Amino acid sequence: MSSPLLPDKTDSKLTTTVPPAPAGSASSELAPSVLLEDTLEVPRAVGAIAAGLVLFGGMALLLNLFGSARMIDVGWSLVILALGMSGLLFHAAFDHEIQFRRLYMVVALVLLGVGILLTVVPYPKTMGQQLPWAIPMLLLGVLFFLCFTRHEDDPLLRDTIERVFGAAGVLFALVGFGVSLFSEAFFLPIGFVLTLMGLVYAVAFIATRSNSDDVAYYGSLGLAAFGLVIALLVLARSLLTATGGTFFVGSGFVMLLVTLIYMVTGLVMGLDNSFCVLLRRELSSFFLSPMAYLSLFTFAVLAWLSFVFFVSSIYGNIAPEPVLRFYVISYLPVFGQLFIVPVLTMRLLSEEKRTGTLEVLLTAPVDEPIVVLAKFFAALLTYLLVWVPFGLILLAIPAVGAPLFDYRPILSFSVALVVTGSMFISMGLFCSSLSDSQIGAGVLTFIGMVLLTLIFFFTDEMVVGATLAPIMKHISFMDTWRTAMTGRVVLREYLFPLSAAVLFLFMTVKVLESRKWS
Amino acid sequence: MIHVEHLTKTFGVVHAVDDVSFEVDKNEVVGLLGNNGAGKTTLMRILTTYLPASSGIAKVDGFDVMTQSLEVRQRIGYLPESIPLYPEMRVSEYLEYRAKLKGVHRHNRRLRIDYCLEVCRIRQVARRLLGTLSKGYRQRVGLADALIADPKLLILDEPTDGLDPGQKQETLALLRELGQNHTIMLSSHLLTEVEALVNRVLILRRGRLGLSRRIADLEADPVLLIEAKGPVEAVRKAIYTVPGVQSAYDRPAGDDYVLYEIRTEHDRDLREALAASIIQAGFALRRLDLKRRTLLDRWNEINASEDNLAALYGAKRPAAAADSQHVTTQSA
Repeated sequence: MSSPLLPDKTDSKLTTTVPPAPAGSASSELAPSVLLEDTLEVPRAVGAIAAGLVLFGGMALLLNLFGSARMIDVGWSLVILALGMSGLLFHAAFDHEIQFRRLYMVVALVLLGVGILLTVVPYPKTMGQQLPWAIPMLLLGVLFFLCFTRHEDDPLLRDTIERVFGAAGVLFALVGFGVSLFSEAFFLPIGFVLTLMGLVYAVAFIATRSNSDDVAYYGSLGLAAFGLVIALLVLARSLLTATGGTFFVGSGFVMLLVTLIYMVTGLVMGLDNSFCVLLRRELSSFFLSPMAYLSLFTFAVLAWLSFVFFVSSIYGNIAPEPVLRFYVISYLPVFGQLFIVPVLTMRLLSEEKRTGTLEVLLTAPVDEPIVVLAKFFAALLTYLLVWVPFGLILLAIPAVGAPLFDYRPILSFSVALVVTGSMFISMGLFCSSLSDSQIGAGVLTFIGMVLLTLIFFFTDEMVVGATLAPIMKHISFMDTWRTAMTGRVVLREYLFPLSAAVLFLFMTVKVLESRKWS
Repeated sequence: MIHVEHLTKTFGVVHAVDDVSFEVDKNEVVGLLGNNGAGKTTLMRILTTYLPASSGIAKVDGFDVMTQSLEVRQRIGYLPESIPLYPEMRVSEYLEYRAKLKGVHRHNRRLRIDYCLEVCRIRQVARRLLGTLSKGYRQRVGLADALIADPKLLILDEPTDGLDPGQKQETLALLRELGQNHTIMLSSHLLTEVEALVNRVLILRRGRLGLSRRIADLEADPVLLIEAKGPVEAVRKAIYTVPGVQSAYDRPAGDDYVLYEIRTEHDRDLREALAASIIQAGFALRRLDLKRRTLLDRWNEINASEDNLAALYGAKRPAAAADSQHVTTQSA
């Protein structure tokens, strides 16, 4: 046994009765270091109920799709199925028993296989019509895969499955970008979905192996390099070919954005400077605690409800343009994010203060601004991710019979979301730095969010007068959103949220440094 | 390795660390002793740059903790008292994260993690969640974290706290091993374990440095014990006539005899001269002894005088009354 230091040398030096543990024997220790077992009762109960729901929902769905209409229609069977799947994921995340983790491994593989099949099958007419089914399956597949690798302790099996999912990611990315370079029709929606799925799978692969592993390290740098190569190809295709102009407007621009995400993701996953390390830890702590999932789940439900209301407002074949405006600025997401922001930000610093991990963090060679920025970007990314279900459900609009809609307002709205989100998250981070109570920080952030939202109702000249109204209009993020949803990027509207974000981040750094003012 | 000069830290009116100066050489193992609230943790937090000093200078490996805090932090491994850990991470994940944060290069990262898992005996819990670990394991994970970047200086706040006797022995053996080529500063309130391990002790009481000696010098720092019969003041006078006597501490020894503990300049053995002086003055003498003081004696002396102070002045601590009551100096 290669124990370079302890066992043989301590033998001579130990003076009292306790014999040193023989090299390699693990279990010679007794109390007080008894291992506390994880309790599994709750996850198992949830898992059992969820399995029932999945069976029930699945049956109802199949009967609806391939039989006659039932009392429970497609919509409700999907809701039941989604609830069941969430419950199963919860169970999979906690239960490390071999039979369960292997079962979920099989589930992950099946979901991956069926997802791929549904993506490429030309049913009922063309390829990609089954995407609304394929996307959730591929996403669920990767989630079950993450649960499995977290528990698996057979290194060979873990390695193999990780490589399978990594390879799937490479395949998605190659096909998604490769075909889209030549066929514009392919990019929306199949190519786009494939490139994003490729990213998700690659990230899952790298994250489970960590970049100390050579494959994962070069994989993450490869991801960035791949993004760069594709970006250059897209630029070349846009600038050097005859149809370049239409290509760029049609899909090239979006492809360029996706490659940018590839590059940033690859670098963040691969590099080991303290910012990247902290950012990864913060992100993983979001996804190792229920917060991110609760928020995602809530917003997915809200997106679904919004979609239902939206579909009911479509008359005949004409979707009201801009689609986003009527879909997002319904009350649901606006009220939803009042709660999401405090939930995402409240524990960021207060928890570290309360448990004392802040001391461990700040006595490592890393400075306060880096810590604050890493936490900020992690929370901002999670916040943006929470909005993704809205975008994904939009992809289903063609499926419910409405014609293709103008997707470009999504891009301008994303920009606005990043900008206003920076303001929200930095405010939450600042509130979290003020107190070592999560609840206190959460309530403070919530009050801030309510105030920012209420300002929307005071932008009317009739209410606040001619001088105050334009000021309020600048502060009101709802007005910024509304402009963005018409497809315009108006820089001066971003000035206030961005300055607010910078101010809040600066103050957060100062609060952390204030322990040094005496 | 550590250079501390007139270091003071005040929290409002409380002097947590009060005018402390000491020096620690490279590869020295230093024990920081003191009762609860003596200022051990505060002193360590200043050295790890987490808290700033109110006044004074502290340097680690030549770098000032205030102005060159990043350089200092690259050279230390710190185990805080309560070992705060992220409950949702696994042990190996946590060590990997800490290794990256502390800039351990990816080529030897796995080796370092492996080494730390081994020497801190936490290999069997490597894949467990930190939140499910018991106190003993948390302590050792914290130690592994402190070791992970192979820092020159280890600052360990009560590294054996919460361990059972066997684990304590193993941890101390590990620290002794590490002490061969690392500078270690550890705090504790267990004298015996420290005495066996360290080269130097610092004893703090109420923020003041009561003692800073090498363990080897501690023994060569004797007290002369004399039991004499006669009026205390007169006997004292006789004692102080001997050149080289620094201070005398008296307490009743029964049968009208009084025991005098005498300290001398440069630890000279003045037994003959003292005996001659007392007999010449006409007092009976029945004991003449040289006592080598152990760490425990020192500890008791330092903390006894503190108790006396507390009894005398209540909570208020007078500025220049460090040695008073029983101990009278020659100049007084």
